[in-house]
Amino acid sequence: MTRPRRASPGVELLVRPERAEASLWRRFRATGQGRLRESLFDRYRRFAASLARRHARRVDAERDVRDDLEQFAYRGLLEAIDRFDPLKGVPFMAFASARIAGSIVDGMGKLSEWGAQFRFRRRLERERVASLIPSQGAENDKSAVEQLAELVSELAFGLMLAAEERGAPNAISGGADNGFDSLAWRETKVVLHRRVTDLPEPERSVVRQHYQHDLPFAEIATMLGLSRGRISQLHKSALGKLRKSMKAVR
Amino acid sequence: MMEASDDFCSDETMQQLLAAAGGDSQRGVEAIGGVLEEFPGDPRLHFLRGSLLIGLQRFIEAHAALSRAVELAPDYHIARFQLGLFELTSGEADAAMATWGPLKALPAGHPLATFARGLEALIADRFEQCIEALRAGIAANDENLPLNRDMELVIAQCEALIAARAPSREEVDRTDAVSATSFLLRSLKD
Repeated sequence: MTRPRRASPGVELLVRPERAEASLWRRFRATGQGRLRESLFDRYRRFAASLARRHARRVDAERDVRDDLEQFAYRGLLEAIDRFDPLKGVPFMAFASARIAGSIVDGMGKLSEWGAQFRFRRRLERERVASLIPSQGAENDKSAVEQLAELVSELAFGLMLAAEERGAPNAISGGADNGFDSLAWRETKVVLHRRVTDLPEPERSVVRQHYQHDLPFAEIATMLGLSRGRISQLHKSALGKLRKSMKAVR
Repeated sequence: MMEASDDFCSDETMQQLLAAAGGDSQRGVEAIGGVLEEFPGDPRLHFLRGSLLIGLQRFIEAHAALSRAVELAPDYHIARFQLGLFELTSGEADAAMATWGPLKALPAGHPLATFARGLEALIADRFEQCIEALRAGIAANDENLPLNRDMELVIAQCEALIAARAPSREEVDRTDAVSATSFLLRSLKD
């Protein structure tokens, strides 16, 4: 999968948003490429999240449950993207609203109020760890301690990315803040962010969607048109690359 | 240059379609649809239909119609240029450059080839070169005058961007201060 050209300021000067959106739909319908599905998901993610928030206000949902509603909304959004026919003349948001709302209501009905978010987080963490643990027989040139050190380091970068995406700058660092640590922490985050941007596709998408939008591997698999097992491999490979490249800048 | 053939509708029909399209794009698209049933191989009909569909914001169909015009008549230079421009304004810079590729074979100084060269410079953020080429294209173009107005707008946008990008003295000073602070903190830590 080749990385799409990032729009230069020169291109941005002439791009018309409504044409760019139509172009995405046209190419997605013609090719079914996961990269284009992801671009469409990114384009409408805030809209789906806003529907989830509106529903949360209506049912006076607890904070933990609100995160669940967002996940249900994202699932509905992905379904809507796959079923939408842009030639029918109905705007996508009008088409998707009912599906997203339906997905939220269905999801709420299937899960108990308190346990949902807890189970969801546990599932994300389990898939993350399962993806990173070396398979039996693999990397047998390394000692168990070395493998454990790598696992811990990869998990730490995962936690750092998650904290970064949730805008909690000191969530992981702990301890008293001082001028240098704060600056060093910010610089590390900037470098990590840049390293994520430099990852090849589709690894970059896997990291971004998993940590930025909390999407489980199964939904990223649907989005990119790959198997869940493949997403797990890509996640491990991406975190391994991040660990190595961050080691180089220490 | 595109050669006329038996696949083409008559000039009289074309004039009637242009008159219909001038008053109402929707009516124009419907009228062209009727003529296309008889002359599906006329690239001019597809080009006109594509242009009207852009105005009606039916962009997916517009792209298909413009692409069909170029497919039927690869030497239909204005259709090729407009298809590339439509792709560029849709955020498809790579597709636009591929579409314009054959225009490079036109004689040196051909306005459409010059415009395409200017827009390729824009894609690469070479704004001064873009402005220079677009001005040369406008000077050479006396066939498609509305295109000159579009290109003048692009020049104006480039000039505004160049002016906005020139950093002020205050910004330069602030960048220096941040770098110095970072350096000082590193020295203390080491």
